[in-house]
Amino acid sequence: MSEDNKKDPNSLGENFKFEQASSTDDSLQELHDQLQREKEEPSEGFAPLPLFMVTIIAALCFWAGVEITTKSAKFRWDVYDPNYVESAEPAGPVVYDPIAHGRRVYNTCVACHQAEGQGVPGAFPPLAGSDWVGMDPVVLSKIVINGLAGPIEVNGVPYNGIMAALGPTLDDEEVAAVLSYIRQSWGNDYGIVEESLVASVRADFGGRAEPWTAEELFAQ
Amino acid sequence: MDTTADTELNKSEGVTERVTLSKIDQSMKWAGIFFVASSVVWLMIGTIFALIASIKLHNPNFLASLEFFTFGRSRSAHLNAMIFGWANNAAFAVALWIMARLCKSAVRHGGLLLIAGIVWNIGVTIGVFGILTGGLTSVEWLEMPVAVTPILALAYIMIGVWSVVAFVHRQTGHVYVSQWYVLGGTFWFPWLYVIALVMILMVPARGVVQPITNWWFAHNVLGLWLTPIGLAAAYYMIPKVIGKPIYSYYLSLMGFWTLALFYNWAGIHHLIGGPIPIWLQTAGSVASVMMTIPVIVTGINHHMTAVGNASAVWRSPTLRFVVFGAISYTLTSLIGSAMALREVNEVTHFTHFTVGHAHHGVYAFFTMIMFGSIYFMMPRLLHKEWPSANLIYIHFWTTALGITGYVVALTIGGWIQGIQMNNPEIAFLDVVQNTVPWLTARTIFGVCITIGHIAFFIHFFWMLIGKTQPLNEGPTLLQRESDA
Repeated sequence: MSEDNKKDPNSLGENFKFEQASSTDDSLQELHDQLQREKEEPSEGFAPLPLFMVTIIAALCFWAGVEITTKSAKFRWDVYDPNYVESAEPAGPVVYDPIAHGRRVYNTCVACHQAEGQGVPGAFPPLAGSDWVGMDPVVLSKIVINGLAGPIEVNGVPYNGIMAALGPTLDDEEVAAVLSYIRQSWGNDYGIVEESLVASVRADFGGRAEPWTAEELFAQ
Repeated sequence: MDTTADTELNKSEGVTERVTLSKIDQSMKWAGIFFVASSVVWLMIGTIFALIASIKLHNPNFLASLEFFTFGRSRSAHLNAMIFGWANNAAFAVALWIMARLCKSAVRHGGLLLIAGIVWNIGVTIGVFGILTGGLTSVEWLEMPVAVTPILALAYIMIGVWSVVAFVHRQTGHVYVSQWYVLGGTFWFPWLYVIALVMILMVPARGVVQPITNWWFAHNVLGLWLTPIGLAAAYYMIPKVIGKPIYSYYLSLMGFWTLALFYNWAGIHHLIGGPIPIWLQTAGSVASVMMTIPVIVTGINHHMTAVGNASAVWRSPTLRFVVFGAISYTLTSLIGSAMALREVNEVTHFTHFTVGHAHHGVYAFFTMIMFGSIYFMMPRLLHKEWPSANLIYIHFWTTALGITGYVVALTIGGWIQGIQMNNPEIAFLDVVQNTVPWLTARTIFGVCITIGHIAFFIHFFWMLIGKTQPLNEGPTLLQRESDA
């Protein structure tokens, strides 16, 4: 490497003179070769944009415009469907549907009472066709808010389990919604439960710490 | 190289310019060698992981007992070694060198650049090691452990600033198109990287904003970093080696600004069909299709410059690789625009078609241009010639045929896979089974590419360490006949 460095044209420093007396023929030759292999630094011609390119660009811009106007759902954040068509009539005010709401809240209950409200024989009583579901909504609200424990009888079948208090988890609207859903599903056909009724039950018994027993419920 | 150079030499102006260039080359020497040498080493590491990952897809028992080489890790190690190790190091070397030359501005304090380069490579090493030992994140293109990413971001800024410094100190009035691309790329990449890190890993954005940011980042690493650097190199090498001005300034101008305008939007086409607002998906598709404007414009510009110089292209190792890359750029970009159309995307999404396309872009376009640029740059930094034309032949043919076969195999195989996946009559496992022949073909073409990389690796270090070749024999060309 030391030999290379000596004849390396990179020793062209600031004081480099092209025809230095001290240059050997070899180093000069080498430098020439190095210089000779370089062509000029690139530059640019000024040919105009070809006409067919203008046509292509115009066509693409037109297509882009059509695409964005027809497939952007007016830039709404909540539309994912490429075939979305905005309905001609305004949707109007949203109507609250306690049954639809209750179906979602029922996810809290589904583990024990099961998807079709059939319950688990011997462990969790059914809701579908149950004689309890038609009872006074006040009783039902009490059970959901404070829970239920001890022996009970549903459709003549005895159960002895415990249902957790859901008052801390569900608010009044949710309790009303899930009760309404249960009372109108799987063949049950009873009236919906009003949120105000649940609120009054919670006001009266919300502070109760232990679950209800069947005796207590029916004693009142 | 030919007779026109002799007449050029007679003009004292030409001589002065060449002496200036020679000085600039020397100022870049150590940093340039370091970046290229690291990139070549990373290329080999990335290739090994690529082969492991590829073989595992049709032969799952391969290395199955080694935790380091499970598919998820080797595939991510491959990607990160190639992008952050090979592609970025090569891009740093080539882009900074082209920038310094075009600005006629020697690299000041080259030692700092070298240190920044060392920091970058330490970061990548820790990152790839972290991936192999299981510290990888689940975010595609950002798999490296979060702890190393600030090192990379900092090192990048320390490296990228050199292109800005060169530009600020430029001695030339006219700004050539390669300079715009390098300057654009060095600004865009740190912006992309830092935003993606912060919004995805450090202070994660909520919900679908994460994948949107992820694909904005991942696609733009290609589009706003590797593409500009690849194009800058092609715009420099083609006219430089042929010795003819680039066809049209207006086309260069249009190509650059339309790329800057449209590419940024294009990444969202990766989320077509996903739960993101439809207008965003449409914007992604439209921008991807609008990318045909810069692609065609750049294609015309390169083609009209090279046309009529076929023998020069064929003779020069640099131009063979660069022209291959430039043609691939046109092809891969047009295919990419087509893939962004919803109707096509419904077939190609989640198939090997996309993998083939990614390699078409990063390998057939970017990597081939980097190979060509390294063949041009190293003799000027080292004052040595490439020792063997035969190794260049091997390198060119194995990589060119290998990547062509690779892309064709995955494009056909991926399309069939997509059609079958959209058909509910065909069981999913049958679809998977049907991809095996294509994946085996992929491994065979991968081996072919690996042979080329080994040839390049040997050739590079032979040139670096070996004895000086006599310069007066002229550059190593691929055909000895004069093109007179």
